[in-house]
Amino acid sequence: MLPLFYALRNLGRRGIRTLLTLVGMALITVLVILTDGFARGLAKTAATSAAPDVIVLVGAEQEFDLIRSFIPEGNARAAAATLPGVKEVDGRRAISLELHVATRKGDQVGTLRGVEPEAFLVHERVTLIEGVEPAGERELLAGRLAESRIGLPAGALAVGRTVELEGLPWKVVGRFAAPGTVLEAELWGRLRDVMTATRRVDVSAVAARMDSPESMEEVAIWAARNRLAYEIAAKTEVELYAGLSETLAPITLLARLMALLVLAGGVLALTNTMFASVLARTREMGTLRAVGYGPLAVGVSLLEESLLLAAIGGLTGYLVAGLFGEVPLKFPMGAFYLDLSVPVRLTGLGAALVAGLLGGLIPALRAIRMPLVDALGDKL
Amino acid sequence: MNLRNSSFALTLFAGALLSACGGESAPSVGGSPSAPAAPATPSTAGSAMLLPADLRDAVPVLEALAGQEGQEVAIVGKLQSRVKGRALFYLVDESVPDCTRTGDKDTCRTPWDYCCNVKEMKAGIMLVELRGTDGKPLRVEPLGLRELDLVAVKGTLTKGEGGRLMLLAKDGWFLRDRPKVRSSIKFPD
Repeated sequence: MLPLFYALRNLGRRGIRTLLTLVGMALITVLVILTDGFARGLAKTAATSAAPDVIVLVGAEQEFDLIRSFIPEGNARAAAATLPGVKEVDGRRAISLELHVATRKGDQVGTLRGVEPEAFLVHERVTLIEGVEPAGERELLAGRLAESRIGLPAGALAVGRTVELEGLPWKVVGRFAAPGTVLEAELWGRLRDVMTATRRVDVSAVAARMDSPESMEEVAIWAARNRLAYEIAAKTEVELYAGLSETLAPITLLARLMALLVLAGGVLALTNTMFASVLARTREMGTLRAVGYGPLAVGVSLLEESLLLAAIGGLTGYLVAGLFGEVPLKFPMGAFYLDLSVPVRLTGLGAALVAGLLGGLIPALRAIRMPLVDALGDKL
Repeated sequence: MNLRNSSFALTLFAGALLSACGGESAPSVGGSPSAPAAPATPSTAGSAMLLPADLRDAVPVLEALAGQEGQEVAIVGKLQSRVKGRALFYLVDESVPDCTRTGDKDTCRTPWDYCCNVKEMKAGIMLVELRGTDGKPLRVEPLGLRELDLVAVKGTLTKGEGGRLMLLAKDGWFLRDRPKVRSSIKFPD
């Protein structure tokens, strides 16, 4: 076999072409990482938004759209008071009446959710990361991705800032995180304030955390029996968000298809580069074989060159993608962070190596099959 | 480098494009709402609950709703909704049109919700339960019935939640008819 140094030296011999191919491979790696990160971030948000132990009572006539759902407040309070199996946290029932409003800000639409203090016991993944919970009139809690969702510049919903919603000024008193959920893109206010601001006398839903899996079934029976009395239907959060996964599935599929196309581009680029290398060094390869190196050794050396190019370009792309930080992206029902975690970046690096292998394969086979006499005569 | 631009997704896609050119058991029935809690009733298959003969004396749901508490009656109606794995479902009077046919633009995917006739549906709907000794709806898996099935069932009228009349079924039910629906309609599990 030819030493690895031979492959490395050959890369240096055609500096400009090598450099251009390296830049191309780095870009391709970054693109594969971004498209895969987009698909994974979106899929993760759709799949993990629902808590398995949360039940949502919605209006009997709008079972899957919380924005359009309505339950007379009296019915909602009566249902909340009698719902069985609700988890108790420090003596408080984890159940909250909620009003979900699609609020406009210019041509952007965000979600304003009116909640009761117990909402924080229901939505366990919501964590206050700055400031305090809303306690005064028209005080607001902003999710980490709320600015991105509603099209406001970064910092516009910082603690202490005032923002106009539903024609009224609201003061941001806190920020919250709810990793991997659509909640993170929402704005939360006190239920009474949101009802007053939107002139609503009904609520959208009653959300409750159940104390056991058995209680989930108990609630289904309870809700069916009380359906006509309270005009409600019970849905698990998983059922509510199943539609979200279904809606987003084609987008994630498209993103993954894009990643494959990018990868195919990388394979073609490397094939082209390695073919050029074979054509430029036909006589040299003939000479190598004349002095005793077998055709396989020459072919493997070409494959090494291709893999080296892909590895260096891929590693560069891996490092560049790591510099991007948190990239928020929005979609119609919420927002999410691009997933640029190590596993995603390693996928990009792996894709570059696959491109290197496939891209070097055909030129290597060509070199292996080259008749020695023709190679020495540079007749290819 | 911290990209905080929501249009980034589009750029991303554009860039990408450019770069790449039970064993069955007999049902235990007859519980009442005030029955004390008991161990869970074993699951029964819906096929075991199917009555061999039609209930020819079955009356429409609307007629049964005008009945008296404690009255024994057989009713017939279209299944509107159910609780998975339990002998609990709602029957709607057959005279109330469901949303299977809503004209040329027939795109309704859940015609059993009667969203096109909510008011009439609410007036002509009755809860049916077949309870076990624990007072809960019997475990029936699979139920063997689906939405819009025309079902006849016999039982006793009793007051349910909110004071509305409901039917405590005595034994099983009879599947009188299963309407044909568009293939695009997917029934719940």
